Amino acid sequence: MSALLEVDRLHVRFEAIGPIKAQLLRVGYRFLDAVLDVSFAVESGTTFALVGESGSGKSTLGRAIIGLTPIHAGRVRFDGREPLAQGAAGLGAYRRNVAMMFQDPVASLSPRLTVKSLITEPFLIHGLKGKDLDAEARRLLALVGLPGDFVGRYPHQLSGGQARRVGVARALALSPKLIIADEPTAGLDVSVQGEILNLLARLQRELGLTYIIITHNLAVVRHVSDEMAVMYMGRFVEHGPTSRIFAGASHPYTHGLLAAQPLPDPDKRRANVELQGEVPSLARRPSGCEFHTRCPRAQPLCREVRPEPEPSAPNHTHRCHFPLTAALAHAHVPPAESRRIS
Amino acid sequence: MEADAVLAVQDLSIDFQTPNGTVHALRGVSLEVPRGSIVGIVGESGSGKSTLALAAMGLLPENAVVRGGAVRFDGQDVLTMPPAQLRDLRGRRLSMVFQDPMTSLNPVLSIGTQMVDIQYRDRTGAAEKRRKAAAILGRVGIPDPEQRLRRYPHEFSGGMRQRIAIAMGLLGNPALLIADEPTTALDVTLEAQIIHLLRELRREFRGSIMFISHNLGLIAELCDHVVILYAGEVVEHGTVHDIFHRPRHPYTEALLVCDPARIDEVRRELPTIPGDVPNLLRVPEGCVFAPRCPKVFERCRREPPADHPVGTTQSARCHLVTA
Amino acid sequence: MSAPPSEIAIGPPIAPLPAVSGGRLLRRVRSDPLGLLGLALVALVVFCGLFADWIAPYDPFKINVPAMFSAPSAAHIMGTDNLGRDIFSRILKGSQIALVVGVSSILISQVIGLALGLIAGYGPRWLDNALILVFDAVYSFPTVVLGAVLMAIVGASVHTLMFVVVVIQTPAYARLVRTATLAKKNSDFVLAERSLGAGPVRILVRHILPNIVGPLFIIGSMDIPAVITLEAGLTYLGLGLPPPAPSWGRILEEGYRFIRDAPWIVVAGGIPLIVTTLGFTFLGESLRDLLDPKLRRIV
Repeated sequence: MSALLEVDRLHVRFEAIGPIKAQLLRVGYRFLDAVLDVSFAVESGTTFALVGESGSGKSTLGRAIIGLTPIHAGRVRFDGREPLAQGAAGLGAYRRNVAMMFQDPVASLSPRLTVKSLITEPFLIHGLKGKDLDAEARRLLALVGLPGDFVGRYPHQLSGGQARRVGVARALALSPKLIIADEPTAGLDVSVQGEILNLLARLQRELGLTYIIITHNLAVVRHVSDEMAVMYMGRFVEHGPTSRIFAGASHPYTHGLLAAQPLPDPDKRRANVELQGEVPSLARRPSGCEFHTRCPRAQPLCREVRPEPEPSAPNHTHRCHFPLTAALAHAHVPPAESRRIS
Repeated sequence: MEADAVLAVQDLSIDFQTPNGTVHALRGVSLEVPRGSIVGIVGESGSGKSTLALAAMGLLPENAVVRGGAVRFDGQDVLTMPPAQLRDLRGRRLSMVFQDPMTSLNPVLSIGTQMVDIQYRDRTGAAEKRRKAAAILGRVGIPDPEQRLRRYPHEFSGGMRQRIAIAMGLLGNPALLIADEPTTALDVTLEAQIIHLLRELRREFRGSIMFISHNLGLIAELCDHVVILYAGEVVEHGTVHDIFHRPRHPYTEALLVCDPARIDEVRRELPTIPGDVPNLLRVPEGCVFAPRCPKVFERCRREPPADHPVGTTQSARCHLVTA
Repeated sequence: MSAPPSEIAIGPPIAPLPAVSGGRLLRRVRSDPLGLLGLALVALVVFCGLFADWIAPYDPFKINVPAMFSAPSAAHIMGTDNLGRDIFSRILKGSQIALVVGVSSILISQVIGLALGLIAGYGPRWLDNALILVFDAVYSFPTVVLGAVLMAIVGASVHTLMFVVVVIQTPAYARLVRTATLAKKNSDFVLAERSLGAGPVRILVRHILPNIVGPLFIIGSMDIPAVITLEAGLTYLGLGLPPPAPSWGRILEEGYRFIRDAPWIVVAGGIPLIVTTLGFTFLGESLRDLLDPKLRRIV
């Protein structure tokens, strides 16, 4: 079965300095690489999680996939076609099949439009005439569990949770196949996070949707995703089935992320902090394996050679010279102890 | 009330005047921060936790009306203290760290200048003040502190800035440090570092911390006592073990159940608390949690519950709790 | 999520224009006496301008030499000038000129400035740079000098004056609109619309424009007295509307010339300028406070 979405060696970069200034200042590389050498596939009807901290490139990757950010190299294949390479016509059809939900639910709604206008705007944009917009708006609101009389409200009159649901309703307007959700639970209280996640799960079951969820919330990732990828400075450092990664992470960064999550149990306090320091600036990338500056297991090799993706198991890859899972044939467990807090 | 509570909030009620009417933000809130302990305030949106933090510092906005109660710092009511005395307290005996470090950091002054300024009450010379500043910067994990004193806030990353804000909060060796969601804007690895830092520092500086957060994991990692705020009321409080292992109030129980990090088996359907936080313009008649409580019964809607003690350390505001 | 309590859990806040309900508007205006005063003054000026021809007691152009330099009296509320013309009637007629010049030239400048600003803010970098160059070049010219030069070259008339105002004001509005557009360009909701497939025209017209028009309108209304004063200034310098047009500047200029004989003329000429400036300024500030939620006054 060919996957719904295939991303092949994607490279997205931003200009840090203009060309003239770069010449004058004799700067070698004037770009910031936000996404580097990313390849993955998402099967229809599944949920894929992109995990990372700030600067990891996960939001940029999401925007590149939907065509909001230009791609420098690599390919995005959707349903067998390459919509981003086909110019305006291809992009139009693509936008009917892929929708995005943004991190700040209220800010992503145009402030002076009513909920009805906001949800039905996709119809107008794509020139789909002859629709009873009011009926469509109510149908979509019902789908996300909001009462019909919300059609007349303005974004600032909505709570965070309600605005998020409106965002989902808008994303559903044209019956897309893929929805990219950027931090769907950000800013929501824990007691209501479940509402939006349960809604998305229900819609996935009923409508056969595929999701890419971009988040830094590992606790949520464990429950809602089938497959996940951990990003660090623009690259995938680990990629595989969610259950497998949570059972035993291969990459020290993944392990460090998991270890940094505070547990809501005073008997399970973390004795040490595994990951010290901060993410280096994208303008000054470390040599070799970019994680070596913070890695508790770093060896001289890590400073010199950049690791390529290697399999820990079928469908599970990592970028590390000394991955954690001892069962690997090529793994070389160094004298430095591998602290596995389970 | 114990004599060795550095902060005692006594039956505090605060209203806000808004164009839409009066918001009853805090109602009958009582809590204590014992000396040398870390007290966690758990509150979601609409709980009033920020109002509480501001009240403790005497920083309430103009439209706030104190309807009753007191906030006693070292025995004296902060809300009725003369401004000069309050100013003397702040920055020295009582300090605060905010969610956004740029709230505490002036972007146009070097951090060295700012940290020396805070020490204006000390009679020592400038060199001594700089030395103290560098020492505490080193303590919070800023490398090369003497050099860094000359730098400006924008030259530091978010995590570093929060460390600097904490350093500034601790400079005067305060009896109480109020931290209002200090890690919410940070990545999880930085969050873990800051929490670890606070745990280490408290051993050294012997003051108390009032730690406000909606993140149950952080509260469990750091705090000795926990206070649960809901819609302007304290619904439960106790030691951290009481709250996490033996919660008695339905809201506390529901909060714990909803936290995905506590759910062991993987499930697509996550538990939630249905409904919304009540509109504080019109506070419901009975128990404030009644509209959303899974264990609600008739009495709850009519009669607001009293605080029922549980054992010696715990208390819950619920009809279901018998002494 | 530690939003201050006044912003959460209080139900729907006051909606932005134009969805303000009548009741709330009245309550707000009543709590703002200066705004009310401003509204009253502006209404007064507009009324005078609209009905000048009917309420003026005399023909503003009628020369009546025997009555020249009459002090204010029951017959002539503001006295007469050097040609015996009733000053009050001239003031009323002058309000027409002031309003026509002030309001319409500001309106035209705003429309052009809006269009240029939107294009500069949202369009390609090179276009933005080029437009900014033009805006700044015109903007940095001293206003009165520019006005004087243009009036001298083209010849003095109402149309020239309006043209002068448009040339001077458009870059200012264009810059304002450009800045606002730049700010909105990268906001989440624009990004969201782009992700839905909206093109630049739709985004500019339906999403960005409605969010910047409000403040623009208010700033424009506060610029009206400045334009009126500009006209007065130019006319005073002899570069504005030629006689016998009874613009307020003309009255001031004549008043100054005859200040020893008839000091009331200068006073008469100054009063409408003060009234208009105060009126529009108070009204504009009141509207601005209404519009900007951050300045929302707490009872």
